[in-house]
Amino acid sequence: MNLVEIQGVKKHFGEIHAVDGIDMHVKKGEILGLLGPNGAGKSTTISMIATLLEPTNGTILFMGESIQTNPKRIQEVLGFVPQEIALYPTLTGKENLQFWGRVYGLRSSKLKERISEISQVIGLEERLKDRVDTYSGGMKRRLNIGVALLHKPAFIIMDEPTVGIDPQSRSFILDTVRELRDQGSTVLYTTHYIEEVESLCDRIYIMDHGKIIAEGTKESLTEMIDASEVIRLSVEAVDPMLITTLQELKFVEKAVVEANSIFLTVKENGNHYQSIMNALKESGTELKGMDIQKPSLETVFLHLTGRGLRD
Amino acid sequence: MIRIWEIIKKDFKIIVSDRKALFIILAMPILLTGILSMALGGSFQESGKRMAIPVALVVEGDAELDQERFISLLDSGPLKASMTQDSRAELEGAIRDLSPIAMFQEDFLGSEGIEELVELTVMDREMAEAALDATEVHAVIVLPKHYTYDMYMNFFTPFRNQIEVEVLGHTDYQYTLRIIKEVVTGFFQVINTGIIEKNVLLSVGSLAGESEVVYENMDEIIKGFVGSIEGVQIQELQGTKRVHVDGFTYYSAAMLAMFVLFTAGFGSRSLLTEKRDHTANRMQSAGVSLLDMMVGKWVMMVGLTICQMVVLFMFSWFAFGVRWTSPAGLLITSLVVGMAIASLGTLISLISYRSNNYKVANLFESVIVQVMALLGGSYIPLEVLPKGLSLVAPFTINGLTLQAIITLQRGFGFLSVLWIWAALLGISMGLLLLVFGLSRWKGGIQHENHSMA
Repeated sequence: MNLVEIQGVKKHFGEIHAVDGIDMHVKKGEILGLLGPNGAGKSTTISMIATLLEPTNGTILFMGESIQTNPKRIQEVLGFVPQEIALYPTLTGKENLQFWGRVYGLRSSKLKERISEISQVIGLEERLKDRVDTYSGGMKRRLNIGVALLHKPAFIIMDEPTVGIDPQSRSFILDTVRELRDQGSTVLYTTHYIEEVESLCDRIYIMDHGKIIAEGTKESLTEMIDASEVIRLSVEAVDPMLITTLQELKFVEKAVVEANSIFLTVKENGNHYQSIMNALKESGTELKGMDIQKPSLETVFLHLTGRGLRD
Repeated sequence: MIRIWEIIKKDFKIIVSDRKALFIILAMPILLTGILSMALGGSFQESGKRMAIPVALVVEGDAELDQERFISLLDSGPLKASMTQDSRAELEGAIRDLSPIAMFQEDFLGSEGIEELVELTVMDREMAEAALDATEVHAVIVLPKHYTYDMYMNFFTPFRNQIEVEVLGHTDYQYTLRIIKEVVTGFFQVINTGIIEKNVLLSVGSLAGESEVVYENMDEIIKGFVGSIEGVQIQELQGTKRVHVDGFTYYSAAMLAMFVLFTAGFGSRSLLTEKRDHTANRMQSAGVSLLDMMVGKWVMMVGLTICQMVVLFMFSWFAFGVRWTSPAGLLITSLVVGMAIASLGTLISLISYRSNNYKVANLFESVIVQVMALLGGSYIPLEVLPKGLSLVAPFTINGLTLQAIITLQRGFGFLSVLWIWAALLGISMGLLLLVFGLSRWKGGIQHENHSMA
């Protein structure tokens, strides 16, 4: 069953088409990844789903009902974790949880109970009485997530929740997201970290320049590029003639340049290295390094867009 | 509604946790009150001393001429027939001893109780009117031509001559005018009573054929008038304990009036801070509208201003010994000032929110507040400022606030500050209309605070 359906949604800011006619859906109980580089339109898309922005065109349905005409429908069950730390720094962790809990409609003993539970989940029981501006970046991130979970939301949107935090806190956040899914919540998770999407998401949409360019599970997406492996060549400088030569090799599906690296999508296994070395030698390009990878979401993105996710 | 209440509570907690804001809102006015009172308070009179109303007395007639004219009347007509030579001589002596002008000016206006409330200066009419225009005097009493003659007529004969005393007032001092009119009316009520008593005596004496006995004792009858004049009770004055304010009182009010503006400044940053900290977005995603947030912040600013004023009133009471005389009036003033401050803060907050920067809030706090403080009399009393500058005070929130507090402190009733409260409410409504207009301008404010990502 689809919890959210997005049909032909566009969002224009003047001449800029931040989101340019996307169709997507979120299934109940899944972790849906929205992957794309900075500026792809991910945050604009989730801002529209979270009722913070109105689409220029198109419809967003939540449980079959338009959120443009009835935003309350989604707002009541939504837990929104913004990319930024949306907390009051001069208040204590507890005061923040109390305020947001009340905003979400929790009162008295229920609120107290949920604050106690959430503070355990986010591992901040000992620091709840301290002001938030005394917390580390990771602690703030965890509280930022905890706030969104207070009212046990059925649908959670997380906008790049792991940006700029330590590995321990990141691991903690990813575990929390899995637990939420296991408890029956639906999660829409945006990130530009491929490894997070690969390890976490049941299904993935890849966005670039305001459009959905691919959709599927990790496996189905990697199968899209019809390659057995991806060879990355690190060079001093990229010669355009070399790219043409490499693309003409019959085992090369596609050659893509990203900075000083050339990514070759190779159709079939085999000893192709001699041909590659010959092409490098002919163009007079000095090889700095080479590695062979199995196709991943990063290579899928590279294959589809001709550029890397962190461009 | 519950969410708005939660926003108000949260904003109060934020203020309490913000030491810088608390310092500006509470500690700064206390410090400045102390400093300015010490430095500039010498020019103020002792607190609690009653403040006299400056009044000009104009005497239009010639008292000596009137006196001679009346004495010559004793030798003609019905008066001559009703007096012996001895009683005529006694009566002339009594007339020469009695000055109706001095009776009004010295015996009445100079009597205990009225003397400290009326600061009298004798002027000619032209000077008095000029002084009234310049508000150097608040009222002018004009004793008409033949006042002395008519008063003699009323005192010493069975006849009554109508005397019309004019009382002129300035439009800015309507209440004062009312008091002075009552003073004059009080005087003539006593005189009228005395005249009636005297006429009754004359009639009884005439019936008994002993009019001359009454005239022989006229001196004693008139002395009885003077005695009763000194006991005149002016009801309006009994209810008004108009007092001077000292330096501490003035600057406690002046600094309070200035620093409530910083509450508007503080509130004006709050909405943009919510936007910058992304808490506004988070609230919106939870179904809290921008209008809810603005209403919450408006109420918060009203409450904060009232709290600020009450704390400063109490502090000045205990620390500076300022005895505020009208707690109820000050509380109402705090409420209407709070509404005006909140509306001003809301307007600036909306401008800041829409322009996505603190420039207007910074300009307000660093420049506009200082200019308003100067023009509103917070640094230098308005009486000392050049007249052109002091005219601006009624258009500033702090100027009106200061005026309301000082007026109440001087012992004027609620009626005297009603126009100030109305003006503050008017300012509040006007600012809220601007807020409404700005919120509708260029497609509203609901969905504009997001950058593309």
